[in-house]
Amino acid sequence: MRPTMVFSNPTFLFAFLPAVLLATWAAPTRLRRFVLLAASLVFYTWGVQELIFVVIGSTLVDWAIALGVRRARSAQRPRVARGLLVLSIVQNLGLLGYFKYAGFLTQQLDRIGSLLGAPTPAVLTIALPIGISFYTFEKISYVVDVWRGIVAPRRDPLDVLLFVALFPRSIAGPITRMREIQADLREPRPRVEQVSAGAIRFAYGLAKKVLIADQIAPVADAAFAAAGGGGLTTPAAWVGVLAFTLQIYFDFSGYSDMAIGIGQMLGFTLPENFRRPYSSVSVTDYWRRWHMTLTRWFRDYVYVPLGGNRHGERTTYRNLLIVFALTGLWHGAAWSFVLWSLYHGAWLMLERRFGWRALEGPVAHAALRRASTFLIVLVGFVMFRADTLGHALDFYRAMVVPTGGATPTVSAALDPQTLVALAVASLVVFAPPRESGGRWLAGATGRAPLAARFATLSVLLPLALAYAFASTFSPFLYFRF
Amino acid sequence: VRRLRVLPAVWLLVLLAAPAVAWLLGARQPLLENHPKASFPAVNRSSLGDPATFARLDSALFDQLPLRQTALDLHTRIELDLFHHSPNPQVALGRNGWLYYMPELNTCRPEGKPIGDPADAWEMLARTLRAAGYRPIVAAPGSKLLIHARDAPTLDDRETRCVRALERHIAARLAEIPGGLSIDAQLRRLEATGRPTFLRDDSHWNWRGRELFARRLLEDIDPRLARAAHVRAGRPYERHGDLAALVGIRRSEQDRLVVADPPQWRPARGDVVLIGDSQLDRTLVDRPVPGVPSLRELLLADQPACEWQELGAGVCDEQLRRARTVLLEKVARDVQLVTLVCWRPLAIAAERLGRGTAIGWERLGAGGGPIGQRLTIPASGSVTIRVHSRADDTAARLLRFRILRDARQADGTEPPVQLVQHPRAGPAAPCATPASVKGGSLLLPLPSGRRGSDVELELRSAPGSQIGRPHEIRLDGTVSAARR
Repeated sequence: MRPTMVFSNPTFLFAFLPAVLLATWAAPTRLRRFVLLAASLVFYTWGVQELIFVVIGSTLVDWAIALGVRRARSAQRPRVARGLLVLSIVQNLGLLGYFKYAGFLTQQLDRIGSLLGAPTPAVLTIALPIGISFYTFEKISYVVDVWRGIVAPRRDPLDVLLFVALFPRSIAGPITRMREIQADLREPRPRVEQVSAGAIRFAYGLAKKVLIADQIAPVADAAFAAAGGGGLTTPAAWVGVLAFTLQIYFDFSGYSDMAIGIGQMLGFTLPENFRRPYSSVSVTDYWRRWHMTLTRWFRDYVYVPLGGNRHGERTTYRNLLIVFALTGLWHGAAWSFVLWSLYHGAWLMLERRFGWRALEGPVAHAALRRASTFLIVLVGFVMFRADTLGHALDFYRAMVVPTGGATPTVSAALDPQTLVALAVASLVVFAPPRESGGRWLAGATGRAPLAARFATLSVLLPLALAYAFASTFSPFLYFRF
Repeated sequence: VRRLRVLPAVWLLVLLAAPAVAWLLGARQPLLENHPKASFPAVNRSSLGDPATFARLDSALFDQLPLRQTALDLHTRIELDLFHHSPNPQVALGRNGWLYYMPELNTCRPEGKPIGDPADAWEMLARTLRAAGYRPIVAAPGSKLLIHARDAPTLDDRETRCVRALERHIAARLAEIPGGLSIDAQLRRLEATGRPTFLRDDSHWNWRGRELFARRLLEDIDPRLARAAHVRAGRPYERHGDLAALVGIRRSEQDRLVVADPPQWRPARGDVVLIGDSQLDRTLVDRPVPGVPSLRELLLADQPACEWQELGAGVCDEQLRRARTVLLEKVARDVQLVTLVCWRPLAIAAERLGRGTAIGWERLGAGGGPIGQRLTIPASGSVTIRVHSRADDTAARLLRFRILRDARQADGTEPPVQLVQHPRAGPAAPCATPASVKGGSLLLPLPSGRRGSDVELELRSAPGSQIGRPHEIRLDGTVSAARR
């Protein structure tokens, strides 16, 4: 396994980040992008080593193609522009396909071959470069936007390299578009307010990751491990999947908060990625609040080009199905991800068919809708977390077929600190809906947010740093997608 | 106002940069884990392509950055004081700040379950050593969880009962066998009168336990040595416990030295071989206060010491052969290891024993019936047999099977002659030779009360290997079994 410098790693926290912040702030404005590019390449090389040259090479190809697309469009040669666009998409998806799906594909061929008794190719084992799914989508969006005329191609290849490699978001998002940060690429100018808001946002994200997600993780791990061994009881299964549902939210949204915070401290405004997803009143609503930058990418670059909902009900359902199948595959080369995604797609279609997407009726109705949506999401996460479909089935069996008593490993994981972390996480998630905690904390005015900011910086930040420093390396759940 | 606005970022930067600044100012992180600090790898064009370089960079930075102990302290204090929970699953928090080592329950868990009855293993080791002319001392000190039980945490009752039963069973058997040494009952008596025998933050005895054990040990090695040494408690000192280190807290507690007088007489060089674990080390070898010699330095300086793993690997064979007194000590929680390696000292001791008396044996299964002087392994590579003792079938004894012909090819691809037990009643016999060395023999010890006919034996080897008729060597002391 390749080492990765994730944001809660002491090397990142106590060596890389302070060095980069100081160097960026101290550098003259025109030189900042060089500092950031160097830092981003170091950060990325830490995780991909020699594959950095593949990332750089593929980015330079996209840079050249984008310039070619612009030139072809100016010369009124749309077929050439389209051809170049297809070339860019093919090279990007080709790399993604090789690194992420070739192993999976050869595995499937091997299974089919063994069933039919036919010879099969060797099963490939290819190390996945971190963040490949994120930056592949960002590069595609750049070339497509140039082709659409929404974004002007960058003449300087370093701009495109910095856009792709910019370390706060290069390995786990938010999936950013060129037009969102192009103004800052050449001369990042972090303002005082922006830097302060970024520091608070980063502290909040680190606390979510280290003090909540990491503390809850052992409960989910114990439950899913017990399901594999057949010793999972019904109460432990529900506790386990609830723990995972909370863990993944605090882990992933914490990472996004940190990425947005670092971006702000360096002079970039990165897009929001979460908006209280567990307060959703429908699955449709959920996908507008969960991993928002991925949802909008699929909306803008797959769903809408396929026709969206403009060509009747049947086409709309087909498009939804395609988008959700691709969303599943994007998360990982495994059938369990595809099924998880299609499960969500099926709920979306049901909601569309029966008109359940909008919230109407009394408050009690809203609470019921929230609860049912949360239950749907929670049940779906079993497929997401399970190693195989068989493992997921074992887990579902434990959830549904009543078996009393405790699972010792899950009970052992539920120590007092974990229980407090679970309680705090539940409180944050199930509190009445309002805007995302990170945005509120960094931007709201008044006494309450001021007190919360003070508490975050004076208590949560030192505590989270101490926990991160004292703990062993704990990778983020989302960084391999 | 503008200055105030910048405060959050400055505060963040101060916290993030603190370890690096401390390092630049000369602060260095002490060694926190029991491994040497990782060094920075060479960074060059070729090493940058290797993921191991970055992993080592990570480890080196992690090990070198100061203030990690401060972070650990904060983390541990929160876990201990706020949540009353141990940050290390291997350590349980008891009452009144006492710490306990959870692997002490391993003997009743799959990962630490001993093979057969460990008391049988101790018995057969001691009896064989005694029969071979050695002076055996075998000791299995009890666990802190059970000896100092009054501050113990609430644990799985079934496991605790199981471990308690096993440890009491071993202690009771040690009291009956030659050379058995157990101080558990005395430790419990001290505990019952409010005098702790273990350290609060450590998995080992305090001075009371060490003093008691050292006295008994010296008495068993040679009463003259015990009298001359006059082992007693010395001055107090502060000790940092191993369990406190495991949970990451810095605290110490008061213990006392155990001291002795330099004797006029000592055992001759190599007379005593010491095979033990950290409990024996703490009693004899440890020098908690610089300048104060250990008991071993004072009393047993010329005597070799071995660890159990070394014993199993054959490193101590020659020292065992030369010794007159053999001390074998292993804390009760680790008896699994004893049952795994005890065949080796037993086989070495058996080298000194006579040939024994030939007994009957029969072949089981297809083509079964009595076997004569030798058994040839058939093409299937395996034969199942049963033995028949001539006289008393319940005394402790060794069965010896000589390998007359080893048909293995020179390339060593085939396995040696193996002895596999299929007990029909009771546990498997302990310390049996698992596989022969070329030209040797296989030993099957049978503890007292165990009938040879209760065990079906499978002999596996390359076809054509020949095994001689079994001989029985009685270890009950009625007949001297030793050649000298």
